[in-house]
This record gives sequence, structure tokens and C-alpha cells, in this order.
Amino acid sequence: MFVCEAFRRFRRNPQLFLMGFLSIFFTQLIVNVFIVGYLELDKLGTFSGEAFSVRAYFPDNVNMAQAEEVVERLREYPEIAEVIVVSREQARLRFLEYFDLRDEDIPPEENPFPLSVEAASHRVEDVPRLAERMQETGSFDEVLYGGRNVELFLRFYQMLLSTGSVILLGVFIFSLVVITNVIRISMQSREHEIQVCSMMGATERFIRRPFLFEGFLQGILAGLGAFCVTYVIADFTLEFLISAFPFFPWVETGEILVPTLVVNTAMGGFVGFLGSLIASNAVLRRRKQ
Amino acid sequence: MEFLEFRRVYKIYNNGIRALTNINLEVRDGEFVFLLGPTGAGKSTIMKLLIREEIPTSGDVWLEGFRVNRLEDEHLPYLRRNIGIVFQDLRLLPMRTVFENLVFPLEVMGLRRTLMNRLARDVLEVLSLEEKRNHLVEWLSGGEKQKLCVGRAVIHQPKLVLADEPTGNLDGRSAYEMVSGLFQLCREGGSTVIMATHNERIVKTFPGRRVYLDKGEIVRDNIEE
Repeated sequence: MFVCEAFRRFRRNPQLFLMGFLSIFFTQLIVNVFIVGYLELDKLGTFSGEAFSVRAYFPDNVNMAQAEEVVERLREYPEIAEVIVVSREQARLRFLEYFDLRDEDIPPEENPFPLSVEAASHRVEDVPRLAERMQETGSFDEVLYGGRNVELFLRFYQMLLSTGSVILLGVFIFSLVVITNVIRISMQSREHEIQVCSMMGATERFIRRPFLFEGFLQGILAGLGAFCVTYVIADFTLEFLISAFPFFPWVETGEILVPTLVVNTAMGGFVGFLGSLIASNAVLRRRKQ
Repeated sequence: MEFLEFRRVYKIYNNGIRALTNINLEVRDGEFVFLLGPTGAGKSTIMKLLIREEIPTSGDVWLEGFRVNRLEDEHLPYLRRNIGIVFQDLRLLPMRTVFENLVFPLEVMGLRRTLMNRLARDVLEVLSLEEKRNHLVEWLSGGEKQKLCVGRAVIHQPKLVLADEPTGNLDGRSAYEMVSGLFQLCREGGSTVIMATHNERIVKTFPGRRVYLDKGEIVRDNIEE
């Protein structure tokens, strides 16, 4: 019965409903910006992880068979996406090609390049750890990776994550405060109804129930609204970005669909429910006094 | 011990108004009691003490062996479920339909929908409100609202019905029908009814105990006559 009642109340008092709805709606929109941003960074991290490879050089006395053996062991590392052996000859040819030199500039018998491996990790933040693990094997003379570039990328990544978390926490608290006050106003405007319920023998749990449902419903509806708006904007924007910068690893609309839908409905419902719970507890406690 | 007892009850409100002075009242199970007296005599305060909307300043209120004024907060809802109340200002739930208002006490008690439907059908028929079952209460006339309020008070067959000026918005005939219904409930259902009223005609029409209050004191109680 309180389901119909909640809808009747929304219809009867649209301003109050809108206030709660919009506070959660905008919070969810901000959350969605972070979800899309996070997914984009994640994709960039994967993309860059493959770009920032680790190079490890064997000592001169290691032959090809021994190098292959080490590579087989490396393949078992969970961080590794791909690992290959670069022979001395391949290294020499690469060098000649890169510096546009002739074959006789570095003859094969004077080849100074050691046998090496090139390893790529799944994610960019795994690169330093992978380099460290490879060094710990003791099979290599020297292990090198993108160093400063990787660290810069990681610092940027961490900064975005921590700033994002703080902002998210802020908007979460903001929307909680708004919805709490909206439900409190709603409850105070229905003070006499609460009194009637109480006189009829309703327990506090019973009295609280419709308000909790109302907050939850408001949250879910606002979350769904934010999801739809995000979907439309993201679809349009990403389509434009993909056509404008096709080589950048853009996240696809399909990839943001499920995470935003789940987060928006769950978080919207949770914020609405929690706000109503706080408000109803406060109002009922005040009534007792 | 009687079904309901007031023992040396005094009530002084926070603003200093002395609402009741040394009230001693015993009501037997199944009795029909009119509370009479001018405005401010303390009739509504007696009702409020019975449902523990107010607590006596001193003295005790007993209902079915329970001391109402000392009851733990968590037990209060269960006490109130045994009481049907017709409020002076009706206090219907405006966002609910006639049916939803009527079955509200049953909903509070956690009854099943089928049982609620059955009980509501019978009461709506008696109240002649079957056709307005799904109307919001604000669409009802004053008299219909009053009838609904009475229906809500009796639908769960409470042991005690408190009616505070229940005939206020009703014309003579409707007032008679309403009190007659309450009287019948008292006789057939065994409920105890306490009705505060100014309506002299009604009081003269129906038999029952009459307790006269003035300035917070019982000045006459015809049980002793």
C-alpha cells in the first residue's frame, strides 16, 4: 500500500520530490564522470603497460638456449603480457636500422650487443614491480624500463584516483545531507500522520517503512535518470572523440554501460535509503523527547 | 480489578493548566460510558491518558491490569492496537484511499490482505461507503469522513473504543446512526466504549453510564445514582 502512497506523494508534492531527486541525480552524474574517467584511465593503463616495456640484458656467457629457459620461467609471472628474446643479431640489426647505418659499420663479428629480453606488462603500474622481479631472478646483468615516464604516468594516475575519491566522498556526503533534509521536511510536514500511525499502534519500524521506501525510490529513479543522461552524452562525445583522435585508446560506450548502471542504481538507492533512515531516526527521536 | 481504572489521577500541563484533579474512575468490561462536561472539563485529557498520549502528573491509569503510565515504550504499540480511537479532528491519512484508511489498524497489526479485504467489505457496507472504496479521503464529505473514522476505530474489534466528540460533523440522523452503531458494537462485540460528547440529544437517547466532568473533576457519575 505504501508503494501507491509514495507515488501519490510524489505527484502531490513535486517540489520536495524534485529536490531529493535532483540532489542524487547530480551526484550520480559526477560519479559517472569519474567512472568514465576511471575506465578511460584503466584502458590507457593497459595500453601504456604494453607500450612501456622492460628490457633486461643477459651476461655475455649466456647462450640462446639458456635465455629461452629464463623466458619460459618469466612467462609464469602474472604481470607479464608478453615476453620475447632479442638475439644479439636482432639487436645489431635494430641498431643499424634505427641509426640508418650500413652493415659494415658494425660487422657481425664485432657485435657489441648482448642477448636480451623484452617484456610487456598487462598494466602500466605493474612495470616497476615486473622490472624488480626480473632483477631478483639474478639471470640479468641489467634491467631497464621507462623509468621516469612510467613514474610520471603512475603519479598522475594515483593523483587522479585520490582526488577523485575525495571529490566523490564530498559529493556523496552532500547528496546524503540534501536527501536527509528533504526526507526530514517531508516527515515534519506529515507530523500528524506519524502521530496517527503511532496512536493506531504502529511500531517505529512500521512508521519508518514508507519513508525509507520513498527515499530508496527517489534514489533509484535519480540513479536511472543519471544513467540515461550519461549514456546519451557519453555516446555522443565518444563517437566524436573516436573519429577525431582515432589512435588514442578511447573507452567504448558499451564498456561504460554496465558499471554506470550498477553504480547509479545501487548508490542512488543506498543514498536515498540512508538519508531517509537518518532523517526518520532523527524525527522519531525528537518525537519521543 | 476493573477493566479500566483511574486512581487518584492528577494532570497538570507544562503551561500550568490543571486539567484533571483527583480522578477516580472504574469502568467495567463492555460498559458504555458517556463523558460529559463543558469545553476544558478534562474529557479529552482522560482519552489522552488512556492511549498514553499524555502521562498523569500523579496517580495511575490501569487498563486490563496494565499500568498504562508505567508501560515501556516498546510495549505501547501493542496496547494501542487494542484501542479504537475516533479523534475529534478525525486524523484520517490524506494520501490514502478510503479502503487504505479503513484497514490501516489491520495493516499495523500485520494482517493478511485477504482478511483485510473481507473485514473492510463488511464495514464499508455498514458505513455505506462501498462505492467510495478507492476514493482519496479528501474527496469525502465531512459526514463520510466521520463515518470512516468510526469504521477505522472498530474494524479490528478492539476491546476499548474511545470516541472524542464523534458526532461533531454529523447531522442529527447521522449522529444517531453513528452512536447507535457504537452502542451495538458495545452490546454485541463486548467492547467497552468511552465517548466524550456535548450532544445532549444523543446522551438522552441512549442508555449508558454518564460521567460529568467540570474543571477537571468528576462532579457526577450516574453509576452511583
